[in-house]
Amino acid sequence: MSTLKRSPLKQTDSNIRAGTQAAVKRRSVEKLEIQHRKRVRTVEGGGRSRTIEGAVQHQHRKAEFKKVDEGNDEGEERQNVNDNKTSNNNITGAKSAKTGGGKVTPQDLLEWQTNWRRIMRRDTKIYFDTTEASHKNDKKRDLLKRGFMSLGARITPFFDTDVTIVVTQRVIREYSRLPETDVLARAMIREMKIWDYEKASRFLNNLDVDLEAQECKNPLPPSTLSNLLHNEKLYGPTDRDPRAKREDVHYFKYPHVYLYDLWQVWAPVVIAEWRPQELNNPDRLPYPRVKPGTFGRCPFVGDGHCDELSAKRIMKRYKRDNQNEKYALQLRILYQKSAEPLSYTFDEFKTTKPLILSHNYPNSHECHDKLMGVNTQSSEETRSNQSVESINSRVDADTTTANAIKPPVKTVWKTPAVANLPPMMMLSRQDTEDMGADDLCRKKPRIPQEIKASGVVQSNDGSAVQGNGLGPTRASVMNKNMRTLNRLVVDKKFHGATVSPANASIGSTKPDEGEHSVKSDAAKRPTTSAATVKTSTGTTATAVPTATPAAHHVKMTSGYCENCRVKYECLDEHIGSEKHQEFAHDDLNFEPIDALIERLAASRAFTNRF
Amino acid sequence: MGEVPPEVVEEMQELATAVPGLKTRYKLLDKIGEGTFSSVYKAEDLTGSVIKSFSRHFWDSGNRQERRYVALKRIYVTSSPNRIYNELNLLYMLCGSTRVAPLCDALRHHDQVIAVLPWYRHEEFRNFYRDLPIKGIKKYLSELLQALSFVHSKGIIHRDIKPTNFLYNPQFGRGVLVDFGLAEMESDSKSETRHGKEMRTSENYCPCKGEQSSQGQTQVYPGNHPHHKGKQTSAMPSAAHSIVDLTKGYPKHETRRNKRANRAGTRGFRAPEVLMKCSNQSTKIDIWSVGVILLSFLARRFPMFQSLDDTDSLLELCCVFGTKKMRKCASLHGLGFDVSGLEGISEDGYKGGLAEFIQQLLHGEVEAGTFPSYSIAFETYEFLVNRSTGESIAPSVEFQVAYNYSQHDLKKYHDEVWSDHYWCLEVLDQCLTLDPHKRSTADELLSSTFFNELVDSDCTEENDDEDDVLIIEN
Repeated sequence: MSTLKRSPLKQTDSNIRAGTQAAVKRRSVEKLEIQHRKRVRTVEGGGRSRTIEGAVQHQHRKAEFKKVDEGNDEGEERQNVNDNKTSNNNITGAKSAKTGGGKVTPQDLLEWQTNWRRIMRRDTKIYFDTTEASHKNDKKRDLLKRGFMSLGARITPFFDTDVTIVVTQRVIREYSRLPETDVLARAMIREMKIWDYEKASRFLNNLDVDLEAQECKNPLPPSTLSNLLHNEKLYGPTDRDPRAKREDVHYFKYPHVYLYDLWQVWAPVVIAEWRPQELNNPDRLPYPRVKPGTFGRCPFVGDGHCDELSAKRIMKRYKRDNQNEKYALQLRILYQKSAEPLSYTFDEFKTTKPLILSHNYPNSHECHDKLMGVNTQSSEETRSNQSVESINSRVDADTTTANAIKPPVKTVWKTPAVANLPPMMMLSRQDTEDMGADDLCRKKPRIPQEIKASGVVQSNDGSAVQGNGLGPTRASVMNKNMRTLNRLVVDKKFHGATVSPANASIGSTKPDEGEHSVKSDAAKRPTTSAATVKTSTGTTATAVPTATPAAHHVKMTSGYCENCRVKYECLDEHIGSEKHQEFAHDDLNFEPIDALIERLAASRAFTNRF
Repeated sequence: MGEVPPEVVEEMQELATAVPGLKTRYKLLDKIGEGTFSSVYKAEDLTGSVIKSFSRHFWDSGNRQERRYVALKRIYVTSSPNRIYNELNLLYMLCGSTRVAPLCDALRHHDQVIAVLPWYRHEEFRNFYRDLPIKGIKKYLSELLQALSFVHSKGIIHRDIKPTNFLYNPQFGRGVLVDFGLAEMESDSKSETRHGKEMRTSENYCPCKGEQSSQGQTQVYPGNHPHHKGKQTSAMPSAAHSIVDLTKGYPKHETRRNKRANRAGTRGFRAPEVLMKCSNQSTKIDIWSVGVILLSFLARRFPMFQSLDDTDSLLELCCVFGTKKMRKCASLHGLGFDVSGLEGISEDGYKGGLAEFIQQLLHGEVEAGTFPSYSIAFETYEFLVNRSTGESIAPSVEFQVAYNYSQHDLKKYHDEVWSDHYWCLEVLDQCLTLDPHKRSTADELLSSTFFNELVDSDCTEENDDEDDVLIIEN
C-alpha cells in the first residue's frame, strides 16, 4: 500500500510527530486519563456508551485489523487503550503492521460503517474551524456540513469542550507553534479529532454519503433556518444563561398579578401590573378587595358614597322594612318547624306565630327610633318585647284582612315588593335583576347591569361579553397594536357611557345619587387600568358598557349572527338581509330541530290518548 | 295582572303572526323575561294538550287558571341551529325530573324557534334571600341539588347555575332548573389518563386530569426547580421555551398562543378551574356555583362577587381564600400564580375560612344597623359569633317567652337553628372547595347531615320518572 493512499495515517502521525517526545508523552497520559474517565462514564451510562471506544473494542475482539484507511484512527486509539504504549514508534509500527496485513472485507467495511454511523448519530459534535477560512471554500464547507448532518451529527457554530471533531482547512505542520488560544491547539489538548476537508469528504464517501447528491439538493431547508433565527431572536442564543435578565422580557416591578403556564407552552392567562400612583386612592383601587359594605351589597363593591347612617336613608329603610316585615315573618313561620314548608290551612296560618330568638343587636327599627328622638332608654329595656308585640299585632292584622278577601297565601305572597318600587309587573319589564330591589337607591342597579351569561364561545379573553354574546373568539395571539386599538375602542365606549352619571354624582351629595358614583367607579376601573400597565393577554381591558337605558338599546340591536358569521349593527336590518333570509329559508339547516319537534308532538299525542 | 305596556303588546302580536300555528295553540299574555339569547313570554295553552301530558311538572298553586299557563321561550334568530338543537335536545333528555323545566313543545318557522315550557309562579331571589330562614335555605339547596343530581347523572353540565336560572318559590318549597342554553355534555375524561409530556401542547389537556394528581407540586416544571435542570430540558416539549425564565416577567412580544377553554357561564359564579382555563371541566363547576348561591344566602349579600372580568374574579377569590390556596389550586392546572403587593389580598385570606368571611360581612351590617329588627340574619350572626369565640355551640340562652310559645319551644327552635347552621357551613365548604376533585358531588352533598330531615319526602320520584321516560320513548 502506498503511503499516498494512507495519507490519513500520515497526517495522524504528523499530528503526533509534530510534538516533542515529552509532549507526546504528556498528551498520551492525558489521553489515557480521559479515556479512562470516558470508560467509566460508559459503564455508568449503560447503553449510552462513548462509542468511539466501543467501536474500537469491538474491533479488537475480532483481533484483526484489516482497515486500510480510517481504520487507522481507531487503530491509534485502540493502541493507547489496550497496549498503553505511548511512543510514536509503537503506534506507527503497530499501524503499519496491521495496515500492511490485509484487505478490507465488505463485512468489515459494513461493520465500520455501522459503528461510525452510530457515533455520528449519537455523540458527534462537529466544529468547522473558521480561522483563515477563505470564501472560495464556502461551498465545500456547506456540502460537508450537510453531509455530516445527514448522518445525524450536530454541527456547532461555537467551539466548546464537547466538540469531538474539528474540521479545518488550514494545513498546520507544527501544532506546538500555534498560539495557545488557537482553536486547533485547544482541540489538540482536548483530544479532538482534527480533520481537513479532504479527510472529511473521504470519510463521508466511505460512509456512502453522496456529496454530489447533497449538492443538488436545496440548501438547508429555509424554514428550519428561519426558525432557528426566529428562535434566537426570541429566546436569545442557546448558550446564554437562562436566569439572566433580558431586554425583551418585562419583569414585574410593581404590585401585580401573574397567572402563567408553568410549562410555558401557553401564553400567560393573566397579566396585570399597577403603578404605585394608581394604588394611591384606597377608595378607587383598580383591583377588587373586600369593602364589606352593608345592606346586602356586593362585598367587593361596598357602600361607596351611600352613607347608610344618614338620616334620610334610615328613614327610608325603616319604611321599607316595615313593608317587608309581613313577608319576612311569613317566611319564618313557614320554615320554623321543618325544612318542608308546611302548607298551613288558613286558620293555622292565622294562629301561628313566628318564633323569634331575642337579640340585642342594632337594627333599622332602633336606628329609626333613635333618629326620631324616641326615648331610647325605656324602649331599649322593653325593645325586644315591644317589637315582638308589635309583630304579633301586625301579623294578626294582616292575616285577618287577608282572610276577609281570599286565601292569604296568594295575596300575601304576591308582592313582597319594596317601598316605592314599581309594581312587580313593571319590574319584570326591565331586567329584573337590575331593578331587583336595590331598595333605597332605587335609581340604579347595584352593579353595572344584570349579570349576563358570558356568551357561549370558547372565549379566551377573560372579559365579559359584548353584544349578544355569540361573537367569535378573538385572535389567539393578539398583536400589540391590535390590543392598543382595541383598548381605545373600549375606552371610547366607556367614556360615552359613563360620563353622564359620573358628572351627576359630582354635583350632588344626595345619598340617592351615591349609587351613581359607586357604579361609575366600578365602570371606570377597566378604563383606568387599560390606560396603564394592565395588559393582561387574557383580559384585555374590556367590560360591559353600563346599563343606562341608551346603552341597553345599543346592546340589543348590535351583535353577532352565528349563522351568517357576521357582526351587525342593526338586528332588524341584518335579519332582513338576503344572506340571512337565505339561511332562514333553508329547511335543511334545521333538520335536527324539526325531528325533535316531531318526536315531541308524537309523545304528546300518545299521552293525550289516555 | 297589571297592565301590559303597548310596546310589549305590539311585540307579542308581531311574534304571533310571525310564527304560523302559534296563535291557534297559545295565547300570548305578557313578556316575563329577556335574557342574553332569548326572550320569554307568558302564554296560555289553548288546547290544554301540553298541560295534560306534563301535568306532573306544573306547580299546583291552588289556582286553576294558573295551571293553564306556559312559558314561551323565543330564541333569538342569531343563534345557530346547532346551538338551539343542543339546548332543546338537552331539555328533552331531562324531562324525567320535575326539578328541571321540561320541553313540552317547540315551534319553528324559518329561523325562529320557540320552545314551550311550563310556567312557574316563582319568586325573585332578591325578594327573599335576606329573609329566608335557615330551613328555607336548606329546602332551596335541596331542591337545587336534586335538580343537579339528575342533570349530572345524565352527564350534563349546566354551566350557568345562578339564582336567575333556578326558579324557586319559597312558599311551595319547589324549585325548577331552567335555561340549558350553555349546557354541555361532560367530556369523557377517562379515555386518556396517562399524561405524556407532549400532551401539554394539546389544548384538551390539563394536568389536573387523570390520576387525581392533586399533589400538583410533585410535577416537575421548568424554571421552578433549578436543581433538576438536566431533567427538565429533556422533558421540555419545546426546548426553546425553557431558555427564558418567565416566572418573574413576561415576554414583551408574546408569541405563544392563548389557551382556550370553555368559559361559558356567568361572572361571579365561575369555578376557579373555569377561570384558570382548565380543559377538564366537569359537573363540579355547577357545584361551585351552588356554593356561591349558598354564600349569598348566609351572608345576606347578592351578588356575592362583582367580577368585571376573570382577573377580578380570581382576585376576589384571593381576597377570601388567600393567595396560598389559590396558588395551590393553580398548580393543579399546571399554572403558576403570583400576586404581590396588593393591599387587602393576603397569603392566607380569612383564617377562619368562609365562616369568618360571612361573619365579617354580617358584622358590618349589624354595626350599621341595616338589618330590620325581625331579620333572620341575626340567627346566623349569633351562631358565628359564638362559634368564633369558642363558646359552646348551643349556649343556654334566656329565652323571652312570647306568644303562646313556651320556653321549651324556643329552646328547641334555637337548638335546631344552631345545628342547621353548623351543617350548612359544612356544606358550604364542600361546595366551595378549590380543588374540583375534592369538591363534593350533588349526591354527596345531598347525603350530608344537613339534609337529613328532607331525605324521606323525595325518594319516590325517581321511579315515577323512569315510567315517564319509557312512555315518551314509545
